Amino acid sequence: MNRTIRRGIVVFLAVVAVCAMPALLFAGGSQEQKAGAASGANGNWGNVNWQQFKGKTLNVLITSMPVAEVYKKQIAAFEALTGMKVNFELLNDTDRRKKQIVDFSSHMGEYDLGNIGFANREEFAQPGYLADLAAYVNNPKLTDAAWYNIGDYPKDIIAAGYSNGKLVYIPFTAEFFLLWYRTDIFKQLNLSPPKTFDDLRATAAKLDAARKAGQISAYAWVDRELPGSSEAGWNLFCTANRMNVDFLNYKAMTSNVATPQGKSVLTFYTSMIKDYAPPGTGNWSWGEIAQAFKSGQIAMTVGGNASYTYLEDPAQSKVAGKVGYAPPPMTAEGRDPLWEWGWGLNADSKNKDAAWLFVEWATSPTLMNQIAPEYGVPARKSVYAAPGFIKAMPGQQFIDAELFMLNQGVNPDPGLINAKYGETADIISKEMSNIIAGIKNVDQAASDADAALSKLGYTPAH
Amino acid sequence: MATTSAYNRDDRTFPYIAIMPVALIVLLLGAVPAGYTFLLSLQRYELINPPAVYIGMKNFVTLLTDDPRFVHALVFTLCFALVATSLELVIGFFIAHLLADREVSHFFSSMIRTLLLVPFVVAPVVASYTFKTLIYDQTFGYLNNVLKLVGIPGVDLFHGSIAAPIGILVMELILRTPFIVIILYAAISSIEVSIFDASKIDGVNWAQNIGRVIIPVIRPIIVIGCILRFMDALKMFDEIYVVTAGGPGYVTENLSIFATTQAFTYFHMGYAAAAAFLFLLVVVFLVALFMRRIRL
Repeated sequence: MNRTIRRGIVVFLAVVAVCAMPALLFAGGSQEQKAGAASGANGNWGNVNWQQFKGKTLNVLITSMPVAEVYKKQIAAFEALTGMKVNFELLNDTDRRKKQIVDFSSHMGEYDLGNIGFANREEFAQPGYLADLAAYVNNPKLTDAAWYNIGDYPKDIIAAGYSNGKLVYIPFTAEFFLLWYRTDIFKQLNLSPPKTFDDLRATAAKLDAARKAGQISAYAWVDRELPGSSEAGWNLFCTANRMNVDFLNYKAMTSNVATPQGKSVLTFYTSMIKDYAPPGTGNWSWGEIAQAFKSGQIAMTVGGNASYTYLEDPAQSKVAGKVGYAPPPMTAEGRDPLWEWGWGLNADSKNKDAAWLFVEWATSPTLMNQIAPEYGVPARKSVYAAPGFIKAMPGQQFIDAELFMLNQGVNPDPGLINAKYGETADIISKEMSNIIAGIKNVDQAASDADAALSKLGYTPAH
Repeated sequence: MATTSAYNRDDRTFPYIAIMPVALIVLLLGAVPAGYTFLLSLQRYELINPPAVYIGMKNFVTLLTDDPRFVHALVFTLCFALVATSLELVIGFFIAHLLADREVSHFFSSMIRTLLLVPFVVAPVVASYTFKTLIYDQTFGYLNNVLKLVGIPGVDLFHGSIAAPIGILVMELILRTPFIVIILYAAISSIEVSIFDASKIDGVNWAQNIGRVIIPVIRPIIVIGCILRFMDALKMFDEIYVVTAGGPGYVTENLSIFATTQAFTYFHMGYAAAAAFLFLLVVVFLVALFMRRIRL
């Protein structure tokens, strides 16, 4: 009897265990799903049916950069929220741009969406490779307009996403140049951050004199010098815009390079480097400038606002906590050409509605509030007042400088935004490089640039 | 009268069948892209301004008659490849000769050969960044710090129009000469010792030993090494792209940089294809000429 009871108990337990196992497994799975969904559904996601494209797969291409890594960490949450699968491919910017334009121009629609840089906007928008996003923003089936609140974007920031009246991308960063300066050195020499170009040169001269006198070891100034449209070409054109000069008028097809204004920009840019930069910096790009600044060898430069993350990281920066941030020197009419990254939809994507949900999610106030403290340059203005964001930034001076630029320091429609920027800026930056290397003087370089540009159809304005 | 052969028909056709897969791969990876490049080169094809328009040979005419930048890139490419290959061959031969010398200890020789293999396992981009930042750079590089210690002014790659090509050349010599050393070492080591002994008995001196014994024996290997290095130097890209980006100005812009810039910065795909096709013709012509002259 006892034996029979024991056998019965064992059989009963075995049956219970076998029956319970799938239930336990499914329970575990659903707990994981719930955790993912909870992560995806963390916060207010508006009145949108996020699951309406469940089961679809999106191919997303993005430049490998800090904000891309921040997004990458959130992809699982998006997948849990929508039930879609996302292939999130990171590539260095040069390769990303090549791959994207080859795919978009082939009309194959391999990538549903990708990041678009402001300066390269027209390369994609002008040939019609990007879908007009206004239709998606205004579609109540896809967008909860009240929750999404596109009015939260500063007008100049969202304006930069328009090309010929079409909203071709929604920004997720708002970037621009800020003056970076060493607060400890400025305090030691009783200097204040320069606001004009004359101030900038005068301040650099004082810093240089202090270095030569042995008071400081840092060089006064440096700027990007490696030739190329995405290298020194961008800094040179931005400097020109802050001086209210356009090297080229793309609409009138005229070149201002060899005009007195154009030459004054070339002279200022190259002479600041020749007079005040460390020796042998002719092939420096962002990487070298940042490294030199972080290691305390530069007293002042202009750099992107997004770079604060590595300047303020004590693990990699000797100057963490000693960097001041201010709007870059500008003339009264000059503005910094905005730089921003936005999400654009491939006009040939076969999943445009589903891809829009990704854009909506990635640029939503909910997600941007969550992730902005990790990259510091959000495109939505409400984020700048969020306690979590303020706490994560290097200081109120940094936020004030950003807000100044967002509200009045950037030009959302600078003349340089043109599909031909890459070619023309490359030519002019090559001549700038010739000046720095001492191969040509400013007059010769400007004249040679004009000669090359005239072959492309640009008439010298002088 | 019927011809006779020691081989039957199957035996004669087998080599063609065996080589077919490789021939197909070569066709797909070589001839098809070359053909497509030629077709592209006959069009005005702007990635940012489609569609493509057939324009015949206009791209070629413009490149050869109205584009001094292309001509400069072509001349720089050829001069650089010739100088780099010649120097690598001379330096590589003497290093290989020293390492293969029976007087040199086997341990020392094998240690040096192992060290010489290092450039092969380092990606060109990594090696280029190393040279750009850790060696040449005046702020971060140790070369200039060492030079400063001995009172020599630092090297500035972007000063004048001579320093950058020399800097790239030195980098290329350091990175690529080991290839020549390794293959020539193997060739010299494989020469029968009895040949050296016989030449010694005949009273040849050091120079005669090199010129009349070693070089004639290993000439096929020298030619192969020379052709491989020459073609590599012609299509060099990573080193220039990373270290100088073709600068200062256009000084170090070779044909690879020129064609890539035309295609992916300017988006002139047809024009870039024409430049690439001309480049292909130049390479094929030079290699054919070289092989004919050397009579490999």
